[in-house]
This record gives sequence, C-alpha cells and structure tokens, in this order.
Amino acid sequence: MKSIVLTNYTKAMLPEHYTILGVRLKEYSLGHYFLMARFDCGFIDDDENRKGDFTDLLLALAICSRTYEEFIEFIKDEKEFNAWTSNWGNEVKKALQKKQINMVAKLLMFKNYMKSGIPKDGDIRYWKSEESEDAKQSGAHWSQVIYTTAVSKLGYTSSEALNLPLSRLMWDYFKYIESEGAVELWRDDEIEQYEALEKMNAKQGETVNG
Amino acid sequence: MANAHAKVTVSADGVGFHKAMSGIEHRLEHLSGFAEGLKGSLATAFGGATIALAIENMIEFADSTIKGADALNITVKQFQALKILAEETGAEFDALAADINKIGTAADEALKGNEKQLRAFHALGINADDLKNLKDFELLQKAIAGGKELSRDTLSSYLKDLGIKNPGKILGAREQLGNFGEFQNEKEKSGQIANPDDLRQIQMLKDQFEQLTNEVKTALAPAFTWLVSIFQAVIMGSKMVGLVVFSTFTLIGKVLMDMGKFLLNLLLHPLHAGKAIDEYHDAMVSDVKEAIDTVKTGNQQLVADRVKSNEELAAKLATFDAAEAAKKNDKANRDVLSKQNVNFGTNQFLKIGGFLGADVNTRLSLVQNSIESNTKETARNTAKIVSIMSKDKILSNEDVKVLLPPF
Repeated sequence: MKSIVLTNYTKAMLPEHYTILGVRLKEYSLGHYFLMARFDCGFIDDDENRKGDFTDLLLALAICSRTYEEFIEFIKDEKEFNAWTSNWGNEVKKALQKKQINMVAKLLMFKNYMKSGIPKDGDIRYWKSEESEDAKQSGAHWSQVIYTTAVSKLGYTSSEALNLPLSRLMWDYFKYIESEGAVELWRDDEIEQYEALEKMNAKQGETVNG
Repeated sequence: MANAHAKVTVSADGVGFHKAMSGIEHRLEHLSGFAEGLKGSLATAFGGATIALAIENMIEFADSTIKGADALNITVKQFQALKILAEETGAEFDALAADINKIGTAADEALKGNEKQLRAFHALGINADDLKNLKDFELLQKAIAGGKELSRDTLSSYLKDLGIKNPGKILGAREQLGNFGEFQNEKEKSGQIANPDDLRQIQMLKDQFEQLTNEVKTALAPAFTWLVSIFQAVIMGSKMVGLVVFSTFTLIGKVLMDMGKFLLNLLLHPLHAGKAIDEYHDAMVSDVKEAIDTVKTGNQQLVADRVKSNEELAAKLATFDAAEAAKKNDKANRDVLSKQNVNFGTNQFLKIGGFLGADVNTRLSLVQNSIESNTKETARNTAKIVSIMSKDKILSNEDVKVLLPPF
C-alpha cells in the first residue's frame, strides 16, 4: 500500500499547476508570500476580517506567475510592467466578452491554489515534545522562521528558499525540527488509525443528528 | 493552520533571515514610491472596463446556475457538478439537460401505462414508487446505476425506449452518473463547486448591476464612447489618463470596485460568510442604490460636466505625454503614444479637448517639439492635430502656418 506520508510529501514537492486568467502560476512559495505582504495584498493578510479586492487579485496573480526575482525585475521596468499588464487586461477582456471565462470557477481555482500552497491542519501530523509544549513562543512571524531555517539549517540558497514550493519547505522544516527533538512526525499507521477514528466520529455525528 | 504549528517550536537562527531580508529591503528601497501605487497601477493598466466585465460575468454565472438548477429541479450543487461532468466527458450540457427532461416525460408516460417505457424502467430497476416519487435526475441516476451490469448496447436500447434518441453522451458519462453523489462530493472536496448560498448572494446583485449599468449608459450616452476610448487609453499605458478617469467616475467606480470586492471575498473567504458578509452585502446594495439615484436624479448634468472637464484635462495630459516622449526621442514610448493617437486620440481627445487649458505658447512649443522629434508618424499626427484644431477654430490661421510640418 502506498505510504500516506510519502504521498503527502510528494504532493508538497510537486503541487498541482494552475493557470488562472491566462497566467500560469508558479508553485506558491515563500517569495510570493513575502511579496504579497510587502505590497499589501489583501489575500494573505493575517487579519481574517480584511477583505481583498480586484486589485489584490491582480497583484496576487502578477506575483504568483513569477519567481521572486522575476517580479522584482518586472516592477522595476515600468514600460514592461504597463505593456504586460495592459496586454493581459486586453486578453482577459476579449475572453470575457466572448464568454470564454467563468470568473467564479477561476476564483475557486485561485482559492484552491492558495490553499494548496500551505499544508492544512492534518496534512502534517506530529506529536509535540514536552519541551516544545513548555517552550517560549518565538516572536518571529512563521514565514520568517521557515525562511531562516531553510537558509541557515537546511542548506537552501536564498533564491531556493524564496522560490521552492512553500508546502515543501514546510515539510522540510518539520522534518528538521523533528531531528532537533521538537516534534515527532506521525507514521502511516498512526495517521490511518486517526483517520479511521475521525470517520467513525463523523458517522456517529450523522446518526445523532438524524 | 500552519501559522500556529510554526510558532510552537523554533529556536531558529535569525542571522540568515536578517541577512537575506536586508538584501530584500535594499533591493526594494528605490521601489518604495512605485510600490505604494503598484496595485493602483496594475488595476489601471489592466483596465476598469475589464473589471466591470468580470463582475458581470460572476453575476451572470450565479444567475444562470440557480435558474438552471430550478429548471432541472436539481440542487445548485448538482447542477454545477453536472456541468463539470459535461465538460470532462465532452458531452453537451444542453443535450444532457434535455435527456433528463426526457426521462421525466417517459416516467409520466409509464405511469399512464405505456408498456414500452414501463418495461424499460423495470429492466433498469425502477419501480412504480420510484416513478411517482423520484425527480427526473434521480430517475436518470437510478436507471444508469440499475443498468450497470448490462452491456452498453442493451442499456443504450433501454435508454432509447425512454425517449433518449442519442444515448451515446449519457453512456460516455455512465460511470459518473451511476455514482453521481460520489462524483459531486469529489468535485466539492476539490473546491470546484461554489457554495449555493454564496451564489444566491451574488444573484441578488443582478438587478442592481443591470440597473446601474443601464442608468450609467443612459445618463452618459454621449460620453460613453469617450469613456470606452479612455479605458483603451488606460490599457495602452497612459496612467495619468487612467487616474483622471478613476477620479471622474469615483462614485460609479467605487460601487463597481465594492461589488467586485464583495464577490471576491464571498468566494475566496467563505469562512467569513456569516453576519459580517451579510452586513457588507447590505451596505454595498445601499451604495449601488445611491449611485443609481445620483445618476438618475438630476445629476446627469453634473456627471456629464465632470466628464467634459476631465476630457479636457485628459487631452492635455495626453498631449504632454506625447510631447514629453517626442522631446526625449523615446522611441518605445512614442510608438505607444503614436498608436494611441492614431487609434483613438486624434479623432477623440484632440478634437474634443485639443490643447485646451494650455496657453498658446505652450501649445506651440508642444507641437514644435513634436515636429522636431523628426519622426514621420509623429509629424503626421501633429499635422492631423493642427488640421482638426484649425477646423474647430482652436488654432488661428497664423498658428497653423507655424505649426504645419513641411510636407
């Protein structure tokens, strides 16, 4: 039987590809996250009540269709920036006029892209060590922690840390902190047991709720 | 969420991070001014009209999905899953929908005692109770599931008896239709199906959106063509013109942007789709009403005046852009601007606005600069400009003599 852990890890290494509104997105990375934060994109804000608008969506797509370095170059060249964006707007406009685009489907796709970029609760399952339970929390933002660890401990170059799929970096990060004794990643059999239990609970819930 | 996980543990070395971040900051330092306006520049270059079309597209989708589901007497989720199924299997959705209706008609016939249909339903495991109680689409699913052990030809023949003339499409999706619940769940789980409540909220905007666009079109009919041209100008890269437009149409633009914001957040942040989003929706609907009222009740003149005054300003700014490009002998920029002039400008903003607002000396030096750039195209455009301005008596005969290029 295929290992659940291996499946999850390889999915994180090679996430699904997305093309949204005509632009092919690169794997969601820490560089994308930093750029969106730097340029105030509403869709990555830690404040869940904040709402993004169309400009945030355009920004997110412009960022995520490039590597970190490519985006920096892109915005430095104002002519290229204007030419590319207006051409993009034209193409999208034509497609919308011809009813070739379903915007709702594209937005759902974008949501999936963002969701698939960061492992969800349950994708990476682990036990915390007692020391971790008692450990003082770092004041650094989680993204900084991942970046720093990737560069200083995992041997990634800055560019790799910024451009590799974030989901992969997070898996590697957890593997690293496991080796440091902070957590213990679940084995396949533990995940299976847990999932079986979850299914049973869900069924019981259905019965109770009629 | 990952956020919480990461915070628990780390005693990570901060040195690499700070080193890298200072590099990032250094690289971004000179971009700071640009960064502030980055989102605005993106939206401007992308085009306001495109954003409006995208909003319209979402509203249309919500409306047609809900109406389509009602017409087929299926749920909104089932309707979306059926559409995905049609796309994936290459079946025409309309044909699939027609087949669902045919099954319903066949059930009515069978209940009236039609032997052929009764026999076919029976062979597919459907009894009289099913015929009475199941909806058309449920009957189709049950028929396909009931015939899963049958050969393709036999199943095809029964489906034909039920009025489906060309069962090939249905048989192409046989596996999924026979287990449609699972297919739908899978699509839902993979995030391809929109929440029906969200779609209903979007649909509620349909009337407002139509009313708004109709009012705007009526009130601004003479200026509307110009507006479209300006949006084209925006797309062609003149940020200044774009900003003028956005400031002119603040009210309408704000409503459209709000509407877009509402739609995006409804679809992208479904977790927030509770009270807050309801309040947001109500606030936005009232904004739309306000905008409609503003355009409707005696403010047409005001809006038209603003359009006119900004037209002149836009023309002036565009002219400055052109002259600036010519002065710098900036080929790439000049090409864009020349194209801009030829495609929409010469007969639009120059005719309307020309160099209004600039004094004669400025006008003369701008055109002179343009001519001196030694580009045939720029010179020709200038000739056109001068000729139009002369016809419109914006330039005197004396000006024309000075300005006309020597060809």
